Amino acid sequence: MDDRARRDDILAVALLAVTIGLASMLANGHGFILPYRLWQTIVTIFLSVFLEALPFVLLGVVVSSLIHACVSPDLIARVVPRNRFLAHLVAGLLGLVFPICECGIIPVVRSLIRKGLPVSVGVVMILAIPIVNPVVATSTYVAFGRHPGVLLWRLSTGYCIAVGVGLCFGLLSARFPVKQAAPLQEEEAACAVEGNHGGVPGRLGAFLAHLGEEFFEITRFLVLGAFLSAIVQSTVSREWLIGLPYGRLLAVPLMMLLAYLLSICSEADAFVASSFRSLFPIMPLLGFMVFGAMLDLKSTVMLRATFARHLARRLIVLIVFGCLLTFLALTLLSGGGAA
Amino acid sequence: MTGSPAGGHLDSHRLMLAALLMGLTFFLYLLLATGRITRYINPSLATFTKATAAALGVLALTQLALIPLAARSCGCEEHGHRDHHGEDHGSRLPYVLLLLPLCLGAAVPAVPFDTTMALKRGIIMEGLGTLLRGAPRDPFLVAAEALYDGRLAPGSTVSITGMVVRRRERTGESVLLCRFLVFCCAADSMPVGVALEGAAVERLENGAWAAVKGRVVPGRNGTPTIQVETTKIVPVLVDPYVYP
Repeated sequence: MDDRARRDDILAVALLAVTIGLASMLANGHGFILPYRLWQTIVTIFLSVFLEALPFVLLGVVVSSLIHACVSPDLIARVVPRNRFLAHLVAGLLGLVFPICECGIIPVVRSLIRKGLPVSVGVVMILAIPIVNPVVATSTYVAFGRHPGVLLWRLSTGYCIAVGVGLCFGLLSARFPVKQAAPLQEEEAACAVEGNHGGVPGRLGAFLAHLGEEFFEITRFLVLGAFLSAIVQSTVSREWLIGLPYGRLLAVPLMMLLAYLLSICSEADAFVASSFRSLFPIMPLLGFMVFGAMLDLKSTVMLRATFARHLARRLIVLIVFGCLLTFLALTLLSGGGAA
Repeated sequence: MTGSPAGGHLDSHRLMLAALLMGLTFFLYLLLATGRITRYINPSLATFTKATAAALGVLALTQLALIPLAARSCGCEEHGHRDHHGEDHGSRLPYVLLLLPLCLGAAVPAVPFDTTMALKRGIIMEGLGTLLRGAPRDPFLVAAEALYDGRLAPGSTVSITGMVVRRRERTGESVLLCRFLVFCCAADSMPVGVALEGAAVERLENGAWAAVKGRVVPGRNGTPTIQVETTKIVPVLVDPYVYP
């Protein structure tokens, strides 16, 4: 066991002790650093985020494992359009066929990247699929009074930003080989293609072994992200945030910040955005819905599981600037972003 | 870090993984069997949770079944197959992370959000109709929607149950009756409020649950308000949330 693993083990024991201590104190109705009621709220929000996301993560992991066991890099090379630009455009529309939310898409893209999908095309999928899909489109349509205007704005801006970020990411990261983007173990990949993953023969063995590993890998990041989100949701006041003195331009980053901190699933965020209609014009609300579906506290932690640290950082910067510049420009062009 | 974090021993890692998956299955089953799942998510999503519990149970069994299969195929007794691939030996931290929902879920009962959360999230008091996916069923939501859509004329009688929230405003204190509207899960819920006034509401304590009956009147700032005639303190409802 190396030093880092030993350090992590000490951290694990400490975390376990704190968790058990905290759980036993909370079970007895005592507060621990924070008031008991606040802890109850944090745990309730944490578990609600975790339980809501779990089925979709599992679905994503199943698809990811099927890709791992059944799809060869050759197939990926044949299916992905040779024209890079076209490949990005097509990737942005895949949500229409595979409506998966932001939690479920990450393991799927992770597996595809490991099989040779260009990283920038994978980035477009991660960003566009949680927005450009029928489930999210329906909820947006309903949330905004069954008027197609907001829906069309959300789909079009989400699609364009996703493709734009993907292309920029591809240009900036061209000198990095694909395998550096995801923690690919070449031997492991070869092993799976040969159908001998985890020492278990056959495609079924590869599928089942990968399923367990992938679920283990992704779910722990989901736990971490959900817990951070729960702490923020329980302590930061939306009333205080939207009560800050802001102009029509500052409203855009303010709503993006709110979306990042709240980590609401893209299938429900339109309803929350809709509740702010009396306070904000439409462009900040679109910033809330588009940016929040691409990046939030929960997905930041999960992206870290997919990309190497420097690439994850680069991707986050591109998403933030892509959304910010787009919605600020649209606010100016629309004269304040009135609906 | 991509490898098994249990010191490189695939068998012990898979055993731990199977145990954690079993634990998660049992936890989900308990939430579903006791009905506590509705404290966390919209009941319409419970079908997904049921399917997840079943799938995790099967996954746990398959991980257990993989242990002897892998050992036989590998032929190694002292270390796991992953060692052949030279993966780094990780820590036990990830297992602890997965234990977190189980420990906290077992120890801490889910609570309906209190008045502090209602005030932090901002209480919805208009345009409720656009947030609903269909005709509401809960009497509170039916009344609130009709009230804010202008379908309840002044003088109409209303009976609703919810949590009392006392909110300080520039012009004084207002008293609201609130319920949290859950879209997918408690984390995305928004408080919906109905303004109350009258001598009867003065006795209502902040955070108490009450059933009130009264008549619709045009309140301060034109917000439809209930002029309360009778109040009754009630226990927190079994399902404190309302759904769109």
